[in-house]
Amino acid sequence: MRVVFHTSSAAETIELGRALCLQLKPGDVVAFHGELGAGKTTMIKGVAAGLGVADVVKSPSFVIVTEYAGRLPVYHIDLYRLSESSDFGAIGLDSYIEGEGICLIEWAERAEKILPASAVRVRMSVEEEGRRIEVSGPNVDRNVQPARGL
Amino acid sequence: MLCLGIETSCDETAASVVRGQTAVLSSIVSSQLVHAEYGGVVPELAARAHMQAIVPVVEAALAEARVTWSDLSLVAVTNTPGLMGALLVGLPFAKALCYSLGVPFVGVNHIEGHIFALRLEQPELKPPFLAAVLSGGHTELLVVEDWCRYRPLGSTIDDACGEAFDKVAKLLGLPYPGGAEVEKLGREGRESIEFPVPDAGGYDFSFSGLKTAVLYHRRDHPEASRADVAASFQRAAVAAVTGRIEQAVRKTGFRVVGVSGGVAANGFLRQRLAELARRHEFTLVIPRPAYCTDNAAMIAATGVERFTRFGPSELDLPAAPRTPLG
Repeated sequence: MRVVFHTSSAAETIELGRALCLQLKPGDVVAFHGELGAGKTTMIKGVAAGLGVADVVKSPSFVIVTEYAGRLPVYHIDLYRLSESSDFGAIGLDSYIEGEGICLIEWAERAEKILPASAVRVRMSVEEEGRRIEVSGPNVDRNVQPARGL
Repeated sequence: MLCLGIETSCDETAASVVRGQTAVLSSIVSSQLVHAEYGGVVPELAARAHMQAIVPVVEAALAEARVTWSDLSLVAVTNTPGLMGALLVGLPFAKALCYSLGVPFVGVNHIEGHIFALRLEQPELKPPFLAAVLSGGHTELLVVEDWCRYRPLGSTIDDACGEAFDKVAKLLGLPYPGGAEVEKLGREGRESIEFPVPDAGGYDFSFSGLKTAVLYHRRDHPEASRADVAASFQRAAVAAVTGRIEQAVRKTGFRVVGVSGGVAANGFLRQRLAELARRHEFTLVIPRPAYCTDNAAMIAATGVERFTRFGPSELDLPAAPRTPLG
């Protein structure tokens, strides 16, 4: 299933992230795709908040992985500084993906070869006014609906 | 006391020997060494590079300091925050070394290390003072109430300050790491574009919106001079930092301000901070660039102070990806 949204502010993008988290279950992987400034970290702030993470979610570009304790373990992973030929095992990416927590992966295309087929895909792009956000995946249902209709 | 400091929290493998609190006998940072020994290839994945570099880097630090293993009386190592795989090279190395030499071992918080870089620059520096740590991974404003005792004031809510420089560099087609590149290009440009000076409220920082503003500007004005964009972005980013520091100086009344971390090597920021210091008549301490960027001398200096105050760390001290400053 594939659903397309348009958000016009960071607050709306965060709200959509909150709505998306209702569809997630332990062990799920959400792959975020989109250029610099597309809003990946912003949307992840919403997903993490929806999963009960109380900390301020910051960009993990520098540290690559930030672990949060929500209702489930939440792994915020950012492959920005890595390349497709990177040794993902060296940062333990495979064990995060196989774990019971939720993996939220920015620049996920760089680890395409190790993403599970069940991964939720979030493709984000900059539009004239705001962002286009496409959510897809075998287990995504049409009921991803933010509280305020977008 | 002769302390060996080891730092492997991110991209740099570093080792240093420090005598007493602030006498740096050697400070080796791997990029130079890896450059020489491995033909300039530094793998972006830090863990393996650390593994290859740590022994030669530590040996080089001892050799440059003209000391031997048996001269060491303490080993200090970064155990948090950082990339787990990277921390897990330096930390066990330091533990094993201490075990075999029979000397105490101290785990150090990397951000605290950046604060002690201020003391390396100015040995007579005494708390309390105001400090800002600005780097690729951290943006912290805090009060140093005493050495090893901190009161956080603000932090970034999204991107770190140095990360904003790196990402804007990328948007401008400049190589990584982008801080120095943005500064260089900005010198040729005019601050002609009004990018918003980010304000996250309170003492917090936010750089994500500024990055987006640059992205929109590139999209809507592709003909604009990249040098002007670089200069204008840098003006806004630096104004966000100096604005917070000015606010904190006014409210807290501290007359001494220390600014460290990789971003503090930026010449434009240093200049603006110097102007601010003159205007508000506070003493500004900024380490020389080699102590602003990641190094192990600051880790050793932190370790000496922590050992003096609190004694050694336990040998089962874990690595942790993030730990707030206590």
